[in-house]
Amino acid sequence: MAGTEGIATGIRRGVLEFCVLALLDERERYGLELATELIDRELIASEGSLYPLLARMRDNDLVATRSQSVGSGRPRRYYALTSAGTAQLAAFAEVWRKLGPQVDAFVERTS
Amino acid sequence: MITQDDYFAAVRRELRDLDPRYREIVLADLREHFADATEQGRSTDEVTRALGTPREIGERAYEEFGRSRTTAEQLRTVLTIVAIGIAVVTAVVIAFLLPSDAVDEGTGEVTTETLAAHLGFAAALMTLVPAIITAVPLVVPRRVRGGATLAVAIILTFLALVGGISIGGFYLPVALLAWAAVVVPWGARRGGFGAVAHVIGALLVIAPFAALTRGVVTRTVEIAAWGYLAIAVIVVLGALIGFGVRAAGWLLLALGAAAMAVTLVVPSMLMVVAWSVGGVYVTIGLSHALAPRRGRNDIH
Repeated sequence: MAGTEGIATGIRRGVLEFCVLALLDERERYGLELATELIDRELIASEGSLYPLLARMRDNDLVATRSQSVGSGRPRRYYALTSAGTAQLAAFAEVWRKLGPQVDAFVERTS
Repeated sequence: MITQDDYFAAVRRELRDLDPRYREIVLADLREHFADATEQGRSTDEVTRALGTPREIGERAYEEFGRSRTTAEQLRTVLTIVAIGIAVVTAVVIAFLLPSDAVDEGTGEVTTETLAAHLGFAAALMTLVPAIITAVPLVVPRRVRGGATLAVAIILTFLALVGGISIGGFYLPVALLAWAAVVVPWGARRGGFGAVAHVIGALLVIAPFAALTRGVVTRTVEIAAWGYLAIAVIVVLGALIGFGVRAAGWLLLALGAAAMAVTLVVPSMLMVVAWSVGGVYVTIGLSHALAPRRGRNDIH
């Protein structure tokens, strides 16, 4: 039997991209900021797993990056949604509005 | 307790089969993450623990991108197959096209028969030995493939040298490709090829024509108009390769293959020279066209 952690990993995988898009829709964020936010919400188990996802989303042109130097003069990469990313977020929301209530209904019945 | 350098070395190792473009992006992001987290007062230990193991990051990366299309393994396979192809053509040339120049023991005269006609078909089959050697890395287990490829390159180089100019020289292109099958995957594993590799490639492209050009400049060699054109084309292709233009690799490959093909149709004293130079161009062209580039980490 898969433990709670195994089940959580499977479910997170499907929705993580959506959550990243939603967080970036609020405002642009840099890597550590995103990672901390996702960890706090228990959406990722380890911070490192965010970066392969971000690289792929960047390759798919869902997010774009902007460099801005911080106090120490080191450049920091900020991630922001592209128009394709905004469209993808809307599409995700559409699917979830149908899917979410169905899953909720099952959860209600089980508990 | 792990240092930051050790951690990144381990992540890079885990990501070795990832397309270098994505690998560099992920590594750059992780470095920034590290710097930001350290500035917030987290210790190296805390940062690495929160990031997760290099293995976990690698697994996530392969889930997102899959193993790269141009992994080191595949580069090795492609270069080895081309080397086998040229080895087979070389065998046919030596056995059936080239005059063997052997001295007939009975009459003491030099025969101009081909090797196959002079020594028989079984002897002609011996010319295929280098092709069979070249194929060895394709059939051995994966973990010894790297070593086998290196061994093949060394053996073929040795054969080309002991075979002398008349026969060994014809195996030079095969030996060069065998070395490419060692060097290109090696470079791919180490993050791709950069400016230094491109400049070396450019010099190798221009080198065969350098002596000729010097002769022309000092007026000790006279060449026809097409000769100037050939020099111009080579210099331009060499420069483009120096700048890392991938298409120049394909053009050089075509040019080299054409030079080798012409050699077969128009036999002459310079046959082995044209064949070898063609082989050099096929090797550099193909390697340049296929090799991953270093540090292409900005896909916007």
